[in-house]
Amino acid sequence: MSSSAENPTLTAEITKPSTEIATETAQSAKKITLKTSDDQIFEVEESVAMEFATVKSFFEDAPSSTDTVPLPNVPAKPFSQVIEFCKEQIKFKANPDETEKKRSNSEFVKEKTNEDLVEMIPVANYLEIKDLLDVLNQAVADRIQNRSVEYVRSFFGIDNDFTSEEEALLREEHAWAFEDVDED
Amino acid sequence: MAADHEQVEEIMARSCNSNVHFHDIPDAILSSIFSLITDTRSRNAMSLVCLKWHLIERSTRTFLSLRGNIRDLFLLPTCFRAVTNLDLSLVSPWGSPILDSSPNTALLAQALHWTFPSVVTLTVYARNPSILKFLAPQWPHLRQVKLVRWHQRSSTTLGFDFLALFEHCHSLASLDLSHFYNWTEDLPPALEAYPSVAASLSHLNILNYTSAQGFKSHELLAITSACPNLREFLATCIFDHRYFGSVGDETLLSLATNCPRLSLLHLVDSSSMSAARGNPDNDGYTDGGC
Repeated sequence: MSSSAENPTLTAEITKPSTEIATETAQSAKKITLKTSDDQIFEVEESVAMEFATVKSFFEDAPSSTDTVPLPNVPAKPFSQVIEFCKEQIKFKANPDETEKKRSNSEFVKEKTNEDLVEMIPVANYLEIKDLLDVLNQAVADRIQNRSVEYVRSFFGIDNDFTSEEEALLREEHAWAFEDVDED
Repeated sequence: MAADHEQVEEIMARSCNSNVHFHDIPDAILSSIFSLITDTRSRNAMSLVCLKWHLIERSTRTFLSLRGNIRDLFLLPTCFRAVTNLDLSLVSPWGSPILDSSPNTALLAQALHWTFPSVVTLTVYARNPSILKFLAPQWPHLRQVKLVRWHQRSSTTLGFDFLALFEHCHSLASLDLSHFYNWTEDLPPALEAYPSVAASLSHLNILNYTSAQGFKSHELLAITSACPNLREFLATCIFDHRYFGSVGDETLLSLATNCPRLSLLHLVDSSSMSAARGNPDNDGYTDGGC
């Protein structure tokens, strides 16, 4: 879908981190250097980096460290999207507006392909960004909701590993739970 | 057109496969994604996707409205062990007592317990008192109970319908009788007989959709003085002061004194309930309340 069109802009951001946009407050001027699993270097504003609980605790242990923080479980592509999300989040920290935040969050996931979402989840999990993880979980749930089995399988690239007997047995179990009589 | 669509999906599926697989998501996260989906159809579909999804779906399914025929109850699948919220009011034929007086009744009740060991919220069509007599002991930790009955009341003793429930389920926090046909005289003596259960109730819904009867002032007072910890109380009553037992300012003040923690009081005149009877799915808040 849009993934091929999105990729060039993402790589552009990796090579030239455009963190200047949100430098409003003085303390956010400090940059933190992070290295992803595929050896990409990211320079991120401190305020953004502190959104990552994992990175935050790293600096709590060594406050004056200026070293590059390695993120061994984080590939660059989903990471740049995670940064994008956290930048948005910080704006809402300064002036909380729940409806606007919700809108922005749903805007954020709406544009993403399934692949993007699925790649971001382990990253959000590793970096312990709870807000993002909640948003992603909900987004994936929304994409599963009301879909047929075959659709979900092909959409998420999952192979059917049931034997036909097993599948028939499962469908029998569901006879107890069907909300409506018309099955499909 | 359909072929095009399929092709696109195929391409997308392949692009997923090439890099990150959906299976790379940790099980704990997959579980929390699954628990966001409550719709039964979607859940049924999810459990058919693959073996792993099946296991996670079953372990996160907490709601189940049991459909199917009563005579097949002993064939119940034992896969829904995580269900905490069970609705037994919709098995067919609708309204018939789910446990009859056959010698297998006790066994069947036990089977229900084994099949759904974690139930804390139960909705059941309690056609007669013996249904709860068999079911309530199976789930002593029930917290929310909704009784349903549109058939006539069968017992002769006042409040007999509730005794088994109160006797076995001491941590009952919420009781919904809005779709349970009974007399307004039934509830007060039952609550008074089990003061500890009455005291643990924080939500009581006795809006009466099943008859035109409203609770009389002294019945409301008896109920509220038995249940001092109510936070939410919904009831049908009589406001017209020409009737016996009508609710006036004095009753309202006493209600507030009886239940100091009350944060929701919803009293509806019985005459305005008759119009709402047509919609049993109504959430209980109708027009004409106070």
